[in-house]
Amino acid sequence: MKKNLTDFVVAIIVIICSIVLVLALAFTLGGRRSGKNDRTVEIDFPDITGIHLHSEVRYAGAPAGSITAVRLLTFKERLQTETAVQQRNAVRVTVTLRPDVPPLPADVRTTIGSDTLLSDKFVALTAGMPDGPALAAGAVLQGQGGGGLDALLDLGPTLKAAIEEVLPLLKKTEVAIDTFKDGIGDALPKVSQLVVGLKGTSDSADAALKRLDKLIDDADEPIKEDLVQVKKLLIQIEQTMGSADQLLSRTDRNLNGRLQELSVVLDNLKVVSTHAKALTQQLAEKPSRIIFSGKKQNLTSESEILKSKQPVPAVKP
Amino acid sequence: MKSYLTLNGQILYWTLLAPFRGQPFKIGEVFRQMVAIGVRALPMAALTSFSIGLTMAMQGAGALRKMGGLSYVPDLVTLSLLRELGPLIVAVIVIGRSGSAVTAELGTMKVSEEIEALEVMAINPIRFLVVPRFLAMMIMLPVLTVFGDWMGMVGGWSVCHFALDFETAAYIHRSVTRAETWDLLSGLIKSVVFAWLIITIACHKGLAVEGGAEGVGQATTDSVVWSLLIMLIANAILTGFFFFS
Amino acid sequence: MSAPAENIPVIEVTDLVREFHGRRVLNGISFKVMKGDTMIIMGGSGCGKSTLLRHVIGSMKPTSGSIKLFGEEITGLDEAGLARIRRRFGMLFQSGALLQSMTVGENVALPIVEHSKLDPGIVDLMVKLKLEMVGLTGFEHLKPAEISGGMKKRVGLARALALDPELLFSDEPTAGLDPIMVSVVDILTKDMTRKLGVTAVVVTHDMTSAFRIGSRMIMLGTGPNQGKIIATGTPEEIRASANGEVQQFINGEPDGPVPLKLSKDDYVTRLLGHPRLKNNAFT
Repeated sequence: MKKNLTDFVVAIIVIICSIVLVLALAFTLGGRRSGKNDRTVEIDFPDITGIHLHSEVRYAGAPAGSITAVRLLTFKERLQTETAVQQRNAVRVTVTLRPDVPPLPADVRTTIGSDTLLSDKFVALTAGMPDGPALAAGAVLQGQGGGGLDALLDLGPTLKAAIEEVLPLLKKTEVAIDTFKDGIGDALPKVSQLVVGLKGTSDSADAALKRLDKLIDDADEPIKEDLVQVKKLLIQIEQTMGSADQLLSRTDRNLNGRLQELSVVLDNLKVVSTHAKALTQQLAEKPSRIIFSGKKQNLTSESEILKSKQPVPAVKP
Repeated sequence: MKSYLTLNGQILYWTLLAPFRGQPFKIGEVFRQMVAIGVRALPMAALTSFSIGLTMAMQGAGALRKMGGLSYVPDLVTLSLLRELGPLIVAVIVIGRSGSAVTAELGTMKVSEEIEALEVMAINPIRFLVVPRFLAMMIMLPVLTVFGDWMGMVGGWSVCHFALDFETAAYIHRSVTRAETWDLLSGLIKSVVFAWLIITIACHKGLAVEGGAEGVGQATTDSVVWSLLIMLIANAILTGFFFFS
Repeated sequence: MSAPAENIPVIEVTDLVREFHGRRVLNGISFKVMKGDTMIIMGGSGCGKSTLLRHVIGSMKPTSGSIKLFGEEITGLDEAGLARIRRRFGMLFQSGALLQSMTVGENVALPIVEHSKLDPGIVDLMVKLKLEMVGLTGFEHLKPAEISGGMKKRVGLARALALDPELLFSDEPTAGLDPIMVSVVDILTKDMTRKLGVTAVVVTHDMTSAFRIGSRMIMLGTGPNQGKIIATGTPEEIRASANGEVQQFINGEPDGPVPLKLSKDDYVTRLLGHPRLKNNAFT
């Protein structure tokens, strides 16, 4: 009987120890499950490569919570959204914020970020303006795709395609020319001062957009449609510029990787600016040729522009 | 095969139904077996898991260093321990140590007429001998697995801390951010399944012994070989199940 | 648990047949054991007496035939029914079959603890009484591995009697013991049966002990009589039996109806593959 008691005590101690250990482990792995009052925010993303359950969420760069749910949007849900950009969003993540995070303002922007090229991705929330209105309850934020290398590689074609689309449209309407010249023209001188320049681009594109809005309101019916198209494309340019800007302004630990990213951005900008040069040149000299279908421009190819160490004429003779 | 399934059925009956029909198993015996099967195997299981954690951290560091991913070593150690190696290594130790002991003990009892004596005394050998061992194994293998998981992580930590200059806090942080509760849980589910297989195979082989001491030796070898084989196959099936579901 | 009426045999075996892989080990065995009898089952090695005992206690199922214990047919009984019958008899195994993991006291207490809800103090007392009965007072705390073979047998006997059974089976109770210990075990068995009125069935090939304790005997044959009863009766009748095989067995003669070797002709046939003519090479 005495031996039974020893066995009993030993076995119970071991079992209790293991229960404590397993609970400790489960608690650590599961994170804090305490908060019933934890705030959650839903964010839609077009692509969440690198983001998974329990990924970190940062608010203005500081740890602010984690991802507690990830689900795919159905086609129906995607079609119900308002803009084309929103329709591209395919994944909805639910973010649980810590209690000490202040209420999110409505102008908060969400992107997928990473400290270095290799490190884990996280969902970044910008701080927003404190005097702005607070985010409505139940609002779904629009997230932008990853700001990492993958996203940057996409920037070039997007910009190029956008500008190429702008070209024929601009041929049709004289009114738009000035506006666009302002937008692009603002940006060009600043390309040399890289970071500031990029920032400037998106700022002035912003301004151009506002003016464009007014133009659309005033314009006659036939031109109106084209102007709306121009506006959409400008928005696209602005967004692309925006994500490049964000990537650049983020603190950097992996300088090598970042420089690589920079060179890609630069390459793309080089092509874009060269082509834009041709456009503005032609607009300034012979706008009529654009409107009344002149002969097709023989633009310098992308690879040629990239190879050259000096500024290249935009149009081949 | 048929007798093995019958044994499983009998174990279930004597564990789950019979106690409510006034034929309980001996609780004291369960604890005695827990000590014999589980607690005695603890140092060995802990040491093995520790060395596995150690090895894995070193191997992982060697490979990940080339890709500049040294910070992934804790993830690697924790994930593979929780999901795979913890349950597996502990089960292997328990098969070698406790499964074989159970087969040898039951086999010896069979050969020396002890089991027949129990039957003649109207004491069901399944209830009297098998059920306590079964319950002890079902409880102690997951318990040992938990200890093994921890010891393995300590092994990984010691490599990361002493050889790779990780901060302890950083190690802990890295090891728990990637793993999920489900990883821990799936490992424990595995160990419960392993426990079932190990103890039923061990008891089955032990009770089927024929022909003296030689038969006991043969049955013990059989028990270890079959337990290992079935356990590894079950592991593959379970991993597949968790992976695809 | 009503005691069987005097006229109902405690054990009644009828036409028991058991085949192993086509070989008939038991071939039409019938006998009865009445209350209070000490039945000795004798026979040479391999005659099937242990197999017969296994059938009677329900460990083995016969190929055909019927076995009744306490008037109840056990061949078709399920586990629960068998358990009910088994609580009414005790069995002493050849090796004692004590559980090695338990002490002597726990071994003796085992059937009591399992089949009754007695207070542990009373169980202890009963164990002490049973051990005293077999002359092993004070051995409760030893493990079976720490006591001698004769002691194990006696502990086995104490365990078989723990529940005060009506019927006691004993498989080779004296095998491997020195003559003094043989007589001790014999006297113990005799005391139990005579004083407590227990019916006993003892399987043995030890003639001295068989005649010392038996009140009735059956003998199983070997060779052509494999699995058959060749003699039955009281010890006196068996001693006076005209059957040569029985006499050979009782007197322990090396050659007789049960041949020491095969016959010469058989030997030659087996050696050469065909029978030789008489008076040839081996005269």
